Amino acid sequence: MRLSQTIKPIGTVKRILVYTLITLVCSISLFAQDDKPKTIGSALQDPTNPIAELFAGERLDLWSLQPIQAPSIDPQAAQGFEHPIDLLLSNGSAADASEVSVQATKEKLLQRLSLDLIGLRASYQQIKSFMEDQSPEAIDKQIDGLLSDPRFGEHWARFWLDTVRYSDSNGFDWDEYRKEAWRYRDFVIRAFNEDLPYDQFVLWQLAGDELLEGPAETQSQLDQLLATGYLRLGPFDNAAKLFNEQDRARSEVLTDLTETTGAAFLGLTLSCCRCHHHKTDPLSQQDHYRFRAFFAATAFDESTSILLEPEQRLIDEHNQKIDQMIEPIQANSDAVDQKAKQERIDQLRAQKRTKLTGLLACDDIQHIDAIHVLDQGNHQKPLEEVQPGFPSVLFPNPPDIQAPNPSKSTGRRLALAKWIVSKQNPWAARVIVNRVWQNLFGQGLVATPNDFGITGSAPVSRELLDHLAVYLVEHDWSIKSLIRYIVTSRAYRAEVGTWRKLRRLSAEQMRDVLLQVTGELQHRSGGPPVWPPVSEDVLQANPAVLDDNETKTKGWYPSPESQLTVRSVYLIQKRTVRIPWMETFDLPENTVSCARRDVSIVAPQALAMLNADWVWSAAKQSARNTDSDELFRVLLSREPTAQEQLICRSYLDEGRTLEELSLVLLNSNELAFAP
Amino acid sequence: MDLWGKLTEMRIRLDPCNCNQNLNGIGYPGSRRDFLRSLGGGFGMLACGALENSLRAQSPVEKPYAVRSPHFAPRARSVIFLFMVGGPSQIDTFDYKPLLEELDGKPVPSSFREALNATRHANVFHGCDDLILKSPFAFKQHGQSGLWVSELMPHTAQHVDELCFIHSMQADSNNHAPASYQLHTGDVRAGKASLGSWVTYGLGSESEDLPGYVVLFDAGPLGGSANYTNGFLPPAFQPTRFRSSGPPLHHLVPQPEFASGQTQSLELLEKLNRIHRGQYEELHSETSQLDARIATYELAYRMQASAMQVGRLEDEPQHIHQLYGLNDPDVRTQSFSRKCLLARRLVEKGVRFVQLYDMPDKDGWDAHSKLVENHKPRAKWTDVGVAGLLADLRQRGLLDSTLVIWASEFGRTPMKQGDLGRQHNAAGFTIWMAGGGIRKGLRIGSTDEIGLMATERPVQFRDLHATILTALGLDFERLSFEVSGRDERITGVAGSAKPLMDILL
Repeated sequence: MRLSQTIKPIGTVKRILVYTLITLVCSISLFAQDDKPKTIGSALQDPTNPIAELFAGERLDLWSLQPIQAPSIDPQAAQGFEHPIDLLLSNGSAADASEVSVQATKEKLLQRLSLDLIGLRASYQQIKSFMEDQSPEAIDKQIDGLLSDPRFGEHWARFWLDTVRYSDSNGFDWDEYRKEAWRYRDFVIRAFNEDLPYDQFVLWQLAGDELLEGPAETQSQLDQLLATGYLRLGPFDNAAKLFNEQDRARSEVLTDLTETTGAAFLGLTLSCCRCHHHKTDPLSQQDHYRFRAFFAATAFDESTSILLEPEQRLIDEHNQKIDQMIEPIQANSDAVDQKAKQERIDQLRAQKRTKLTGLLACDDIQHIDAIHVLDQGNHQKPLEEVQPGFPSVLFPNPPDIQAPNPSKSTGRRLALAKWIVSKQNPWAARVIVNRVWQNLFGQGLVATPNDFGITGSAPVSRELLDHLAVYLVEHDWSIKSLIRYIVTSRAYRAEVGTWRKLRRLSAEQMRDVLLQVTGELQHRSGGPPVWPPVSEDVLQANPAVLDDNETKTKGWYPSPESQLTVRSVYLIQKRTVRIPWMETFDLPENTVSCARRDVSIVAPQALAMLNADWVWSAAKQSARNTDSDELFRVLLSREPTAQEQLICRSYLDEGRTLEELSLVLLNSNELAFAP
Repeated sequence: MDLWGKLTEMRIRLDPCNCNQNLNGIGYPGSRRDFLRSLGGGFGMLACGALENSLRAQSPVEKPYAVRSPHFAPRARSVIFLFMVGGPSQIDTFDYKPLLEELDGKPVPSSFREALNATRHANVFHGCDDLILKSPFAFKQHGQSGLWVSELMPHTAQHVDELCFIHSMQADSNNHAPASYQLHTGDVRAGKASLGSWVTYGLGSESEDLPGYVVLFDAGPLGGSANYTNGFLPPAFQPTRFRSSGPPLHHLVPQPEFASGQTQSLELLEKLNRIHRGQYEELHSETSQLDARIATYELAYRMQASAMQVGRLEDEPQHIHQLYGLNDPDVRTQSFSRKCLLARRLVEKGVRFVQLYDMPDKDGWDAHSKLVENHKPRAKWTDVGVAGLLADLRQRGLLDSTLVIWASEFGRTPMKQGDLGRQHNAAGFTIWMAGGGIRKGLRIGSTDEIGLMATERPVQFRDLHATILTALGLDFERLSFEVSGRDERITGVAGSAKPLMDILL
């Protein structure tokens, strides 16, 4: 600028020459001033990208590296399709439009929606009034009702808790109960119920503490902190220090954070490049450790209160008052009876209320681990040091890391979180829409939700996946909007077939439904986990349970009987002792991210359904003051058919009871599968 | 849990939803499954090399319980893994170190200390006194082989010519849970699949009405269920816990009010389920899952009888009770002995893998203080049952096909800790194997002269796993399962496991 201002008008040719010269000088001087390394491009364009070099330009045809692109919809082709999803499915891999032409009956559709959106069944009455409502908006009203039902969050939280390996305990030898972990679980339920935009959901979990200035004064601000519980959910070997193995434990925490974050938010298998370069994907071993470096300062926050500021202030004021009362007593050196004086002080101190801390994470800026590439992943064999960085195949350059408050945090996790939900990130939106699709159809468009790499499944329709990803981002990352959009497609409403599969209910759903239809299920909105009583021989699965400690974290603490019939999401989830009935129905291992529940159909499940005490008592409960037709209405939400009436009557005529009939209906396939 | 699956399969084909998430595009057009089906023969009929690996990885998912042929001729058909929880001391049981007598009460000679410090096991010193504690137990040579056994194990000592000792085991952690996870699953972190799950995944089950993988314990191992879990393997390879007294399984016995009419109730259930199934059949929908669930009720009914039957130890004659020590006045001996007898009955019925824990309380062999008071009773509770099991398997001709392993997550230090106790020792400890394809009356590897660290031929758990799988006819490199793009193996992905071929027959 300064140079150009001094130029006087001279002839055009001269002007061009001078201009060229200036440009040249400027660019040379710019170049000279630039101490930063040359900017490297994505491996898709730049052959000097380290990943392009490492794998000799191969592995770059991986579909998920491509930017998310909304497919253009040809209006000609769209004719005859009410919903873009159906159009894109028919464009996709050989799906036949006729597959979605047979739509499920109205009753079935409502039952399906109810099980898929709130995890519980629609009642006889609900179905009846839905059938009677002939208005075109009838179904939309039902969908809106289900989406705004507080039980929606309780159901949808479950898949996320699986994804982030939620547990109420540490794992390993002592498997200590994490007293406040449930607050993270409640945050997730609230987030789904309040439709917290998914980008915020990500930011809060990875860096809620960095985003928040000052103490939390609203529930939403507190949730930003509680969300950082994500960073502490992994297993933690609390006994390592006894054997001088803290380094191993710390290394395992960082490994867990790297692998879980890669899998849960990005569908990247960073676990495969911990010991060596990835065998199939364009990820290097350095990429694993660059990613890990975002967590280098992450520490357990054991001091921040998890109470809201007004409540915490009351406690602080109360404690100050007590201190003020203690002070003069302590200062009184004339006191004759020293023992009485001390007793009085102790008495007052005992009245102090303690601050409540919980499962929060923060940065410890005094202790930022130097992150090294580890030979074969062995923490005892560090190789070269690395700095934070995103997967270098697309993002080889050092990220811009700004700490909002450098005295408090490094800004590393915030930089990571912002990048995850940025427009440039090709994975995050695709990964979450795929999970939502999987929850609704039983299988994702990508069948491997934690693996968007080369050995993972390719999407059934990339156009549809991208269409949904764009839809989500354009709708302010609203998960509820996305769900509404998907369930209004014909594909979702089709009869069981190509798209919609019959699905055995999950362990949680199975238990919840049994309690629901027998009238036993009680509503509860959050709070500490419920501990069902389990027999001694089950508890002994981890001997540490037999050896409880003073802080009461190693034992098993059965809840009062009146609390037991809550939804399963509120049941205690320890890492080393599992509730046998639930385990029978394929509870996943909760030490690593679970992308999808395995479903088995085996005889022990039949035994658990037929012989467990609680199922029998629920059956008996539902059989009070009723008849067999009413049992069908209550348990199966429908009238019995004439044939069913006949066989049930002859069963009862043989001397069998309504209680036994109830147990039979609870065991029926109709109840065990989502239609 | 994997009960009665084989029968299930004879009736129905398991639905794709039962499959592992990593199989490409299952249920969608053009999937690998369709491709394989289009080849016409179905699973098991293909043998071309390129496809073989993916088939092996896939068929256990499709048909979890079917008997699968091993990769090569097996030496053993089933496994009984006797897990001594908490770290019994090698230098007080099977690893005789006369030098300890001389050094008793003296500091650890610097040469041993320096040698250990130079390794990843330096932390074994952590928490110990710098004083040698000699073994309070007398050692003697036994049998034709002349192998050393201490007075703690007089009954086991009688079978010493059947045993193969490995004196140079090492674990990667000196803490219970991580080391125990590693012995079970190959990894110090929780979340991987246990050996029993791997073996049933590899070989299926030979029992038609019992599970393929059974765990037996009063109290479980340190670190809990994550030890013996199926981990990332499909739920069909979960272990089933049997109890050695009372009803052997959870939820096995019907409620009294339901029991009398159970047959009629199950008939009604089947009728209702068939009506329900008819609706889907009319729509030409896939009904295999519905069929599978109908079949499980028939099987559950039958299993109530068969599981009760296998658990009825009182059916055994008195001399067998005597042999295992079931009549011992100490209930803890009885309890362990019952498990040993139950293990034999399970293996006899075709159960593939029995994982048996000796834990009668919360401590196990974890003798941080009072070694004598800890080890003496524990040896007594377990010794007679172990010996009885070996003798009984042999007399029934089952020992040749049953691999018996006696092991713990680590051993203990020759240094004293606390009040005449010993610290954990992952640097060198002893396990033994017997039966199914293992050479007899043998010892391999050794620790230094004070029993502190494996010096000759250190053996890692992955080597042990590789050896066990080899004995079962499984190629440990090929026995893999794809998890998020990675072929997981119990021996790890690095390919560094070395089976102990010289101890195999």
